[in-house]
Amino acid sequence: MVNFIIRIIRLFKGLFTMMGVDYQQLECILRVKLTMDNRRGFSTSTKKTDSSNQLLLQSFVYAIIGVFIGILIDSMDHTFTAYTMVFSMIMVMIAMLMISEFSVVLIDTRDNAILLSRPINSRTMTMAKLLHIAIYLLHLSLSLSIASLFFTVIDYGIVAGFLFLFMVFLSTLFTLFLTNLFYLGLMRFVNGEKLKDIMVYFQIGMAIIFMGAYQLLPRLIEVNDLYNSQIKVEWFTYLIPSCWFAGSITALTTSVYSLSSILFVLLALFVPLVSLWLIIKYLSPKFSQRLSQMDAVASKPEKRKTQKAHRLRYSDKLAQLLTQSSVERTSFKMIWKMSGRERKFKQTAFPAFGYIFVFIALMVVKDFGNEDKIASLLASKRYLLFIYFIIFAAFAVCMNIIYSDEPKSSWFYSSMPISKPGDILSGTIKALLAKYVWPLYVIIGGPILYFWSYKALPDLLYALVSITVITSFVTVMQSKALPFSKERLSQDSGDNFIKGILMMISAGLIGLTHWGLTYIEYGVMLGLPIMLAFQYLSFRYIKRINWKQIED
Amino acid sequence: METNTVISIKNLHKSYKNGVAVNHVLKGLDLDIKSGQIIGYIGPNGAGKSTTVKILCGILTDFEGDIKVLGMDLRTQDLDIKKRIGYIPENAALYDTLTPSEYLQFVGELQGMEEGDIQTKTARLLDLFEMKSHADERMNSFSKGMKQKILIISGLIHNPDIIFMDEPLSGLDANAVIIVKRVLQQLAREGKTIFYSSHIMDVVEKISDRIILIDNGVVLADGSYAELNSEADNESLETLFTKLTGNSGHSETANEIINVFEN
Repeated sequence: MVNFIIRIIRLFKGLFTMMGVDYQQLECILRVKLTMDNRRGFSTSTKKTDSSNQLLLQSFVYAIIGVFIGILIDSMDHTFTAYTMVFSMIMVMIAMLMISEFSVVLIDTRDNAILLSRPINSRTMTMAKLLHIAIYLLHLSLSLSIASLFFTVIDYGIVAGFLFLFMVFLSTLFTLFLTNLFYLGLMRFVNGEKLKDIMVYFQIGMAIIFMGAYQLLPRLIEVNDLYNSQIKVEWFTYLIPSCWFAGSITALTTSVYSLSSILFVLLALFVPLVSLWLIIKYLSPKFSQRLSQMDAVASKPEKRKTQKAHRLRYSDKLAQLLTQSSVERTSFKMIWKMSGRERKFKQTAFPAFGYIFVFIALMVVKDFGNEDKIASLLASKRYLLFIYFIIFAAFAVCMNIIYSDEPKSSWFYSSMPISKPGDILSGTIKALLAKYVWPLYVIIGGPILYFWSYKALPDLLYALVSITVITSFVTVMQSKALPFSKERLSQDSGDNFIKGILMMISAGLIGLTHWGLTYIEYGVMLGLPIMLAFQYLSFRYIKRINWKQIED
Repeated sequence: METNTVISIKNLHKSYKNGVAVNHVLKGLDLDIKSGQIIGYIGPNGAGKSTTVKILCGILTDFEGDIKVLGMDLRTQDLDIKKRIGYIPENAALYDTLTPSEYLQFVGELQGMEEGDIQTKTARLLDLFEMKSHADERMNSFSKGMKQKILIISGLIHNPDIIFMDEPLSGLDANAVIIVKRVLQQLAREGKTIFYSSHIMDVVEKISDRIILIDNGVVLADGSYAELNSEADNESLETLFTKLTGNSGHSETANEIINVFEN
């Protein structure tokens, strides 16, 4: 595979040399980078996995998503509009991928010590990085557009198919340029650790937007309206990149070569190529400079804002209130602080919080503006579903708290005179409940109480206890590992999937039990003490966990 | 042996900006370094040692002042300079999913060496550093010392005229330390210049022809060990170091630490 990619790149040797790139060095760097990716899984991933399988699976998923995009070409009447939508979707997805998956490659400061001291010019260096990313992005953008290509060939012939492929290539290139520009701008204002923080929040935001758009958009747009919609060529369409590529294909497929279509063709051809030239000529030296600075600044101690005094007191008070032993209290405080600072934890656990609001919006959005439906919603007990969505977030934080990129740092647990590691686990779970789950409960429970009034209060109380019970119980059942002590391995993925299903079933059962109790008079009120007893028992069980039961 | 200036630094300033905060690390450094010398570049943490080395190796490019390396201007002829220098960084920065053979092949190619030359030198150096049996093993399972040996080889493989070293002996076993020290002395005899940045005073004391002590971005002392020693009333380099950097109260601090436990 590496040789195949290198052979293709070799075809453009003359072009690279013309740009001032040292081709021998470029090939040498790319060969090493691709070899390393093959050996450890793609470099952005901490998973030790077979990267070719991972990439194949990803390509397959993208090809499936691509079918939904491709259908637009076949079903929409207006060619220009259809292709504009297709290219918009492809470009947005590529930009999202670029930021969420490939940023690490682009701003890899590890290269500084290895490559910057060697006689490599900045153009070669930047071109190597861009090509490294572009290889993967093109792979994925082609997977994404394979269905669109199929429909283009069927509807407009083979030549249009080739043109479409070429336009996908150019649009990917241009997206790469835009994201590069975005990073350069960002690096002007923030450095090192802050940039990494911003990236994590960006990734979380992207995950939520992606999920939201995926779930909400089809429900918001009436299908017939979409198929009949038309984008008219106005002055501002020349500013929208996806219109350039769409305009070029439309010109060929409709054989209408107006001034606007010629302009679109020129923009589609020249802007990506000029932007590539701009990257190599002007942006790459700046980029290398900022990267070397970033590494150096990162090595200087950075004053990070710690939590404000009143928040510290708040968490201390909670620790006093919720914990019994000193080990449990220490564990509570440590998890309270660390969970807010560990990027990988935030990146994997926080999107679930956004998804919950997407799901709730999904269930309510259709009823907006319809008084009858709103009235029937308020008369129902559908709020039970909303409040039990919290379990998704609770499981996300509890499942992910055991993972770390630096699992070796957890050596201190075993070096400390701790007789009952169960105290660490109970402190951890309590901290996660207090910091993430219960505030979410207040955010969702507050409006429920407002709209459904005091009648919902017994249900809310019961739900709080049952969510706490199920979260604590399931967390230790799925893994008895100490916080931040395990490496995320690919072989865990399958295991986690099964555990996830079992957890969802248990969450469903506990929700159903609650729902069943509402049919019995005073059922919920009678169930509450039983749940409290379960809560007591589950924490007693957790606290009794000994070193033999703890997973390495 | 003919000695000429191989590194000339005039009024070197370097600041790091982090948001609005500016950290002025080097404050007008002036240095002239002759060929065939082993320079011991010492100073406390944050003195500006690594920054100087990174600038001289062309890793940090935005600095103020004039620097000539091997008679060439560092700003305009950085690639020509990089072909003739070797850099051994402080942290074991390696692509550790590669094997030593693959990594050294990669470095050799980037340095523009001939294929045959890379293979001959790789085999010889791996053998001399007792790493031959590990030549085709991936480096991610290597100890810190083994990685450090590969780093040293990667800094020497292209036969550079100047070798910049940032704590090169960290993690090495006693045998390897002796080998590296002898290699450095032999290379200096052959006219190579070694720019050696370290905290380990006794090694600096033993191998350096000239010792430069910096703190807070300025040179505090510069001379041979004998010269510095006579200036400091025959005290050790360590004592001189603590005196000049204003950190002489070590005994008091140690006593205070002990007191913490006694009270």
